[in-house]
Amino acid sequence: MFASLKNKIREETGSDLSKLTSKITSSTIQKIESLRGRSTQGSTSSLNSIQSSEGFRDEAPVEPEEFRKRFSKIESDFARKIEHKDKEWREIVRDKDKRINALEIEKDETWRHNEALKESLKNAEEFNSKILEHKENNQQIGNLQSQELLKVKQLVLLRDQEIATKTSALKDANLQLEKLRNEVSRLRRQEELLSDVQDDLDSLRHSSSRDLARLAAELARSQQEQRHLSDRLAIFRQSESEVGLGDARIVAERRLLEQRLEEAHLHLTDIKTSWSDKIASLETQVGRLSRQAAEEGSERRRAVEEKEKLIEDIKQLEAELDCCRLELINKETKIKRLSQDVNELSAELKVLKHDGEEEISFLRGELDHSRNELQTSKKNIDNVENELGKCEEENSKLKRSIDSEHMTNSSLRIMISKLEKELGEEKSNSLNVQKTLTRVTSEKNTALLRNAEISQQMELVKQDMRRQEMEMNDVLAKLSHLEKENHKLNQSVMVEKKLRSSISELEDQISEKNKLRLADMKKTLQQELRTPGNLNYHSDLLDNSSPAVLTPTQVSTRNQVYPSVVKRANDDVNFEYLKHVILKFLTSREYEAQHLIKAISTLLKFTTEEEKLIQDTLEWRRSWFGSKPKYSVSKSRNSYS
Amino acid sequence: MGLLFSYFKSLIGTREMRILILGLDGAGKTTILYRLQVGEVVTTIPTIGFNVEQVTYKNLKFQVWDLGGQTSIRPYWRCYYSNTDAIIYVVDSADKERIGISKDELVPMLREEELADAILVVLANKQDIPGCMSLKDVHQALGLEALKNRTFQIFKTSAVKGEGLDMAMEWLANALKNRK
Repeated sequence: MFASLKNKIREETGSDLSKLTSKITSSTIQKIESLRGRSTQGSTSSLNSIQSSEGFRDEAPVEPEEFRKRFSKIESDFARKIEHKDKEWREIVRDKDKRINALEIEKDETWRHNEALKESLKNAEEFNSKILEHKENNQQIGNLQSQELLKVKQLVLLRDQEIATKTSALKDANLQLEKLRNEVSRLRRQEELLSDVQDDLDSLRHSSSRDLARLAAELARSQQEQRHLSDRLAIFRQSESEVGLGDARIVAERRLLEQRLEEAHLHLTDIKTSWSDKIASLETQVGRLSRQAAEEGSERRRAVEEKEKLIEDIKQLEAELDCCRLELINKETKIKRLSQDVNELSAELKVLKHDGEEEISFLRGELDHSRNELQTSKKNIDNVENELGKCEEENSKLKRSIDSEHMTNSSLRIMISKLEKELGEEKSNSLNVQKTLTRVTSEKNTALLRNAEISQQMELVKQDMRRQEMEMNDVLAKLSHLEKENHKLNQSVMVEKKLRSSISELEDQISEKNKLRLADMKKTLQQELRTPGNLNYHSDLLDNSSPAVLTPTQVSTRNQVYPSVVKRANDDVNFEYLKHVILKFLTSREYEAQHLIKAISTLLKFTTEEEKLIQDTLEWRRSWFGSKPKYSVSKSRNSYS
Repeated sequence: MGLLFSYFKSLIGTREMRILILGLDGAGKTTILYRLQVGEVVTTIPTIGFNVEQVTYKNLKFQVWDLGGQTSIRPYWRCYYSNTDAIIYVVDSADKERIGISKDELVPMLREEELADAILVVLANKQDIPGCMSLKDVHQALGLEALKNRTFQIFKTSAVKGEGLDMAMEWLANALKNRK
């Protein structure tokens, strides 16, 4: 709003405003300062001044000169005043603007702060809800853990009970086992007794049987004796009867004998009875003993059976015991495992509880912190709101003042428009004057420019002149040089002509020579072509008796059979053979070389002496001593000749 | 000195046996030589001249001379006859036309005085070629039944396939050992 107002003022005052401001003097500044002091009253004073100036105008009707002066004075006054007011207003408006801007910024800031605080509040609430959730979760976890723990504890208790029952059963079984063992030991003793008894019995039986046998033998002896005695009696009787009526002595003797016999008989019977008694008693004893033995055997059998049964029982119990032990071990391990699990679970629970507590405490701290923040932010908001209210109040005050300022401004504008109209006339006058002035100055400038241009052109022309002179000199020098060269060229052309003529002459000579040579060559060639090429063959044919040295008959026959061309091939082969053999001779070991001497001497048609020489040389080379064999020249010469 | 030399020689071992491989050109003499020495079939060109190689067979050292068998150089064979221990005469069993020439070369050679003590081994070579002459045919064609006072044996061989050569060398080694 103020900006548009300013623009309007600027439009209305135009560029003159700045010009006018430049004319402000120190006195006007003082006035402005005084006006600033009473900003609200400025409007009335200004009105007064205007009235006074009008009054002054009315009071003094003077001459046009004076009027002009006055007019100018008034104009300057007005200008000053307007300027002053304008400045004042501008400053005020600027201040207001600044304040409003500042307030708005502050308001925005407070809003922002408020929003931020609200957000933090929300966050805090969220945190709170989270904490609650956590708490719930923790409680749930705790409940679950406690339930699980209880379950585990129950299981453990059950296991314990089971174990207790098992252990009691085990103890019982052990007791039974011990009892049985005791019984077994007892039975063993009894068994021993039994065996003793049996032994006794056996011994008794034996002794009884022995006694019996003895008795039987005694009986038999006594019976025999008896028989003997009866026989003797019979004999006596016979003899008695035979003798007949013997002696009284014999009768007496007989009686005595009979008496004796009877006595023996009696004695025998006695013995018999006593023996029979004894036997009966013994028999009864035996029967008793046998009965006892049978009883004992049955008892023993029973005891053995019992023992076996007990052993079986023991085995069963032992197996049971083992089972129980295994079960016990299993249970124990299970218990250990369960207790470990319980420990682990409790540890986990502790950790979880600890974590939960930590989290809760942390969240509580955060909650407290956020609450504090919230409170502080609320306080801040309150403060800011208070400030805002204050600001708004101030704003309204300023608005009111601005309105009043506006009022004064509009009145001043009216005045300004009036003054401006007057000023416009003056301006047009001054503009005319200025236009003429500018035209004159422009004309002067143009004249000056032209002058400068002309002088420059002059200088340029002078420079051109100098350059052209230089070029002229150069060209003259070149011309003289070219003339010299032209002269030289003419001379060289002459020389060339001379050389060309000499070349042509030489060429002619060469061509002639060539022709002659070619003719010669042709002639020689023709001659050579005409002459037969196998002259060598004829010579070979003449010479062909050479290989015949080796096997004269064969070679000669072959020479007659094969044509001359084959012969030549044969010679080639011979040469090749010679070459190969010599190569081998030179490169081979000495032992091989010795064998080659003959071949070489055959091929080269050595004499026996020469062959021997080679052989000797080889021998000499092989041996460590001896002198080098010498070639006898005279002999060889003789041989060649 | 000679005593010393012979002593040294006895220390080193027996001297090398000198063996000549002879036969018409293209009979396979060079192939046999290198088959004996290296144990491989080498590509050969017609020998103009000779080849000499050391061959060791069953601790016996042979100095084997393979002499070229072309018509023009056949006459030079006689230059190598001296001190020869054995002759391996190679015949091309597939070359029926020239078997007569082969015989004509063999018969005068055996008459030479220098070769009077030499053992003769005849190899009927190229037995791998179908339609070649049999051992009996070669034996007959060379007129070997007429030979007397001569240690000799005939073998059928194939130098390219390496067949029969071992048998022939075995026999030759034994014969040379027995002769000493």
